[in-house]
Amino acid sequence: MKKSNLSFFKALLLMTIALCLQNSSFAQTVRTVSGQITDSLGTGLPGVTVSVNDPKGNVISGTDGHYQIKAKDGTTLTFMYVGYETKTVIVNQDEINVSLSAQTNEAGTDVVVTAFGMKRSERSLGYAATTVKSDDITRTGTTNFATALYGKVPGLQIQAAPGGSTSGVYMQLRGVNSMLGKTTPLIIMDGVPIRDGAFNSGNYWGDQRERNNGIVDINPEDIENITVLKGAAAAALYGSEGVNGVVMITTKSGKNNKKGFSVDVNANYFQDQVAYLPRFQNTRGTGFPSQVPGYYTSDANGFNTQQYADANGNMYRALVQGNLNFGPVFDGKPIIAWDGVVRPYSAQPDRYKNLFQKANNSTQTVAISSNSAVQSTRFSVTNQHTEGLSIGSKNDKMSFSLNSTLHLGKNNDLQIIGNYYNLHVHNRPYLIDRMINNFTGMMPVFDNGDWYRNKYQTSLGYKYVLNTTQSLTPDENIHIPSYMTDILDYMWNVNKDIYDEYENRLIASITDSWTITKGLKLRGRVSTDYTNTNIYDKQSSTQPIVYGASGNYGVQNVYYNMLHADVMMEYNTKLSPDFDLTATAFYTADKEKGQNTSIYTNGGLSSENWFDLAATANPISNPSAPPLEIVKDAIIGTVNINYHNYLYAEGTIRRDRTSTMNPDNNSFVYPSANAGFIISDAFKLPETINYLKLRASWGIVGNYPDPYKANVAYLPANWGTQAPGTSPVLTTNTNFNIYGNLNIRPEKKNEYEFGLTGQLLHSRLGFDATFFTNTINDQILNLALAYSQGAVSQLNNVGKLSNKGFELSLNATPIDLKDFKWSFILNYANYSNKVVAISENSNSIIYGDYDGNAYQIVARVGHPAGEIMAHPLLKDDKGNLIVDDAGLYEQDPNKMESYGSIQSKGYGGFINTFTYKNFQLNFSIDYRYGGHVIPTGIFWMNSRGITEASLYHMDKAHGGLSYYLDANGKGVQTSGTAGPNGETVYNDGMMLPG
Amino acid sequence: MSNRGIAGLTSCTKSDFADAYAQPSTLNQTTLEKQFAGVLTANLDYTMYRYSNYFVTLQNTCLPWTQAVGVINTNGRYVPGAAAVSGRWQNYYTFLAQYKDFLNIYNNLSPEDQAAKKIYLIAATIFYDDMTQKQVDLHGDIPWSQAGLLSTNKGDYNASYAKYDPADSIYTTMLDQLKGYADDLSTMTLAPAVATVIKSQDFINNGDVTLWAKYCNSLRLRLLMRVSGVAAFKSRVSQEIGAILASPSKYPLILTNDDNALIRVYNLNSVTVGGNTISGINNGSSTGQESSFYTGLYGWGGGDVPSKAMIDLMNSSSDPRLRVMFQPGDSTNGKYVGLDPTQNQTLQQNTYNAAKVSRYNYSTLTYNLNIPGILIDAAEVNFLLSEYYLDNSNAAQAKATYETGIRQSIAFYYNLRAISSDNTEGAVTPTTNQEINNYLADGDISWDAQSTQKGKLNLIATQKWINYSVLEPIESWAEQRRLKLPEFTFLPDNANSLQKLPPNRWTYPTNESSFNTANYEKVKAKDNLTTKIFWDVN
Repeated sequence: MKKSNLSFFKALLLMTIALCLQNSSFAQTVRTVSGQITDSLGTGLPGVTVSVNDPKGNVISGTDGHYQIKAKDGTTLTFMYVGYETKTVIVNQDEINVSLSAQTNEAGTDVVVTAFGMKRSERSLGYAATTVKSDDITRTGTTNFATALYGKVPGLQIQAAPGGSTSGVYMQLRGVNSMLGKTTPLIIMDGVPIRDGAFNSGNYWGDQRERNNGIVDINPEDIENITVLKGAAAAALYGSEGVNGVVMITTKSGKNNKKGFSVDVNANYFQDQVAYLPRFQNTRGTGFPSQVPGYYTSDANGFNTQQYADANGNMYRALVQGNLNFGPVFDGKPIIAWDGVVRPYSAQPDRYKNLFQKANNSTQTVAISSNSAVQSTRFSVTNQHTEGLSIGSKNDKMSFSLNSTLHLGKNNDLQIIGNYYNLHVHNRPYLIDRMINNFTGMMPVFDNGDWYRNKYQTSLGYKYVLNTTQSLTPDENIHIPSYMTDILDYMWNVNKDIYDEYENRLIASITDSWTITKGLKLRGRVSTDYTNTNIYDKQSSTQPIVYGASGNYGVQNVYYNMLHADVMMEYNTKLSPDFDLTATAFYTADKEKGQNTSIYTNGGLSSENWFDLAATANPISNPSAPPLEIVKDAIIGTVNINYHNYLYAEGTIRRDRTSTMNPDNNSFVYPSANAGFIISDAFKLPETINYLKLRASWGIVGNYPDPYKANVAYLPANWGTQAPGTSPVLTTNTNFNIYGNLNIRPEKKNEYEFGLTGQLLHSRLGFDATFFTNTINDQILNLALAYSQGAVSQLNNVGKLSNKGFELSLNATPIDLKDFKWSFILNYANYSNKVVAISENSNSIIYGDYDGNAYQIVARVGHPAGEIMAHPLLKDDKGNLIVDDAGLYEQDPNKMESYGSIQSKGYGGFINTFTYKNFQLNFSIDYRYGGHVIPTGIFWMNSRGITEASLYHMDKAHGGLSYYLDANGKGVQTSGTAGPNGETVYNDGMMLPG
Repeated sequence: MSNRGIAGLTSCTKSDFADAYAQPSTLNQTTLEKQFAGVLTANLDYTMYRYSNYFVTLQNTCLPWTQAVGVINTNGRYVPGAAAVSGRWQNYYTFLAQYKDFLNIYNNLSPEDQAAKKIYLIAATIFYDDMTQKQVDLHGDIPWSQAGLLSTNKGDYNASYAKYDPADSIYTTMLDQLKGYADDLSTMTLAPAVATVIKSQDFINNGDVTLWAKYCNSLRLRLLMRVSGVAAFKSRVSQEIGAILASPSKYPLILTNDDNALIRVYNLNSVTVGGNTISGINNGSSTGQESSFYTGLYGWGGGDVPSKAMIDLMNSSSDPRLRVMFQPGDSTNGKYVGLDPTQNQTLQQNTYNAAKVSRYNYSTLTYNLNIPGILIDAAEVNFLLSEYYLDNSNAAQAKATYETGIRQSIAFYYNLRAISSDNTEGAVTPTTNQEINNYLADGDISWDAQSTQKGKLNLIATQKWINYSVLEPIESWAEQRRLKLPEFTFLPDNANSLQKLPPNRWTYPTNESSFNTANYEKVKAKDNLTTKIFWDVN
């Protein structure tokens, strides 16, 4: 096993063209005001928006910062420029010169949207919350918001599945909180939960295509900001769903715009190419050293013993058919390749890349905003076209976003938010598992993706045919060795199969906020996240119908609806001049329903490429429609106290009910508390410290079993009629695999967190440090049983897990010159995770056993969850490695040892912004360290001689030892040019110590 | 929109939670009849001819150890692998748990229902005892009387750790049960309401009480003969077999193929259970080289090649089954050739890679989707009787049942070909009475040609072996361990320090030592490959 350092290095250069069109209106002239706008160093600032309300109008300053605008005396000129503080000046003369100072946020005054859309000032929070603004999200022209968060939030780990924009994104906050349950954060958009969901990426045998999940639908262009809440206290209001943290998205609304009407247009384009591939060798082709008999029928030079004819009947040498690439070294002389073309026998460095396409991606957004005394509205339409690297894969998405607030009288606001997504995913990428993990799929060294493009189908459009298999085009049958059937299959699939997904998704909410009297507010909200996806799977006929029906057609419908509602009553009062008190009560309810229906033809299509269920060759069997239903509700009470605006405390108590536990025993109560203390306000500190805050929180959160797992029920089946004159055999079976548990309790996460935030040196340096520790008791596990007890495992509250972590975010502006500015944000997070207990009868759980017990991923007591266990090499009693008769090490079949954890120890990001005059360059790196992966595919490829690493020992130049074979076929090391009896000396030997 | 409206719209009621709790594809209630058929379907992977049993379990254990197939001399070939043991063990306890849950439902019926539906209890228990006997023959002591009670104990796993029952006590319990049921069946008639339902639910005998009686008594005969060498059982063996033979109408046996206890293939449907699609009551629906039986028996390659011992004997004795059970290799010039167990692995590999050996016949066996799962058949019962008569010095009956057994076996294999779903190997020349008579007169086959007790016993053992072939390797291995006949040559596995020749039993899977630790400790000392099963006394 190889220790693999997983430090990701990713540089993103971007160019965003933003066009800002703003309307202007006309009014009578009173005075023409002109002047120059400069920065604090006196440099003219171009592009500053100067606006006036009477007569209404605005202009933009020229290259050296000069502007001219008409305005009435006594009206106000507003100077706005991104990155600078807005300034207003009363009009009283013809020349008004202004100097704008660079924006420095006053520490702690930022408003943070917390649970249920409540707005709190950052300074009042007793827990960690990180906000990322829209500019930072859309700047990189990313196709989904999650990948835009790479490195930006301390403690947020993001992994995007390969496959481009249509593939899922996996997020994880603060490491692993559950050994078997969900580990991804809750996604909240505009105060309501939305669908996220797991996706397929890796289980080739379960599903051959890359799937996505709910979060990739969200349009980055519509996002105002994203706040990430971490820790049990922060998430207390969301209960079990928030146990892994909460990612809260606020979409753009009209209310931040100035009064009136505006239109924004925005477009961007970028291209993806295959970037990182294993280090392949480009030295030798398919075959095996000739002194090793029995593998391939090759001649003394390692080529095929048989020659093959080209189209003109000329005979050429060829390689052998096989998957081992330890054959003849490239010599550049003619050879006939498997596609029948004669080429020089030389390396094909782009062979793998040519299996894929370049992906073009573009986005256009139009947004309209309107703002008046009675309403504020924003409506946007985004058209996004993205392509996958997989041939023919593309995705068209239209996103419509409406965010409107109506002021219904003085005390009542009605907010209507609707996000509608219409997607068409065409040819979702196939997993390339077979080309990594299968011998007949690993591309040999003398091979090329381009050759497959011409050969996967016959001239009649049927699937390629091998050797002497029956075919209408026998001359085209592939018969020259060294082709790979899995690659041919892959090319056939991506080119000939048509797979269309049409998704309609509506995320909508209506919120009514009513201020009953001063200090007493009532708010009610309903929302839905409704998705309906129709999938049409058309697999082309592979052979003429005379040889039998082939091809396949299926329709699938995926339906999902999450209905959410909450009611909040808030009471705010001043208890004394020193104390503010806010008391809040909530009721929330969620109902989730889903169904995945799928019907496929059976036994092929009765007419070639007739894509209809009626085309089925045999009667359709086993349509499936697995359903999902979850019901949850909660009552929550919260009290907040504010002492002199520098000491804040909050306490929450919550009662949950869930349908995933026994209906007679399905509720659970848990508390949390947090406090924030602004030291810099409470005490006089040195001037270099602008802001310093200490925070502490504690909380318990429950986590529930997955739906249907706790119930004990029979599995019914209908086996059909088994004898003439009888009825179908009907059976029920007790569930032997995972027996339920009527007494299951929720998992309980108990977390403490402390944090310190500060702004120093006039806010040129800021930091935020957090330490937390948690224990998750009553982990719900499938407790392994002896089969003889009557089940393989049973759902039980047995495990205990603990996490510790440290998170640090630094922001600094090291250089701030007249024309040049460099600022950066450095995020760092470090976690340690430990399995404290599993159960009284077991110290480990096996998550997965791979490649026939070659390795396992396990959770072991005293170690992090997700350890890699594998067989060590066999040693003798003295601890020396044993070398067997074949000269190789043997694995010890009876032992498994730890080879590290799959969890990263730490991760973070380094985000730099360089500003030179009007140009801005962003440069970001995100990283992970610690953690191991098993690159099974790489090991297989090494064994097949495809990688650079496999060249080791191939000859003297690559460290090979010289030896000859004695009469018994045993290798004897030598330094001579021939053996004692004239045996040939080979230079590809290796000798293992031991 | 009013806030009160939202509250009313959304609050969850208790029934909302209850409705969403249960998985719609499951049932909270069941019936005795459904659980009964659930018992019969719980171990189809091991009663039918399927990939997992043959590939994972049998090709690495009983098939080579009985020389039904050629022994491929790989390292570690006499140590049952973890996967081989564990897979079968898990399935047996899945099946056992299903049976115990069935019993729980039966025990909770009213006394009237219990009386009316006793046929379900009897039929399920006969089948259960048959499967248990194989489990005991492989492992010896097993968790049994207290096993599989998690469901009966309402999910209390602490109360459900099962002790190991001694192997001989399990045999005693089963013999007692089956004796009682044989008596019950001899007088049983079913009420029409019961008969109608069981006719469909019982896909082995379609609720035919007489056929269940025949299965019951034949199974008793098998159990009794297996323990016939054990001193403590001797009187019981002669008494009970004597009673069975004395009243053939009260205690009927399976003596002709028409009465065989089989799981017949009626359709190739697959079935959805708990959202998973699995094979139905059949051998899967894939055909040809993809057939479940073929892929399992073929294994890593060469697994469906018969042993030299079997082919040599069948060649020299002109066994009428030769052409129906086997096919020549592609490069054997039409001759039947078995794999030599004394050659090294490379030589063996080269031999079967070059197609210089025969194969088990595709059309009769491995590609034949219609082979019924054999529980007990007429040939086997006749050979058991022959051995009993031989032990009890009834020479005439011993010879008659020996020859009847051979005739039934030949007919059975020809019938498999007749009902086959596959015709890859073309038509087979039918056998004739003359051919069979010649075979029975052959020097190596003829009853009369053997003068000694052991010689005659060897004839019976040899015929059992051919009849069991690759279809009943577990029974075959048990009989070979008991009789030590026929005698085979194995190349010792010198590379393995643990086991150089075929073992005497299978060890327990690690699942037991890991999770049933306290009970396992008590049998740990006996848990090795050399401990003999209690009936292994020769």
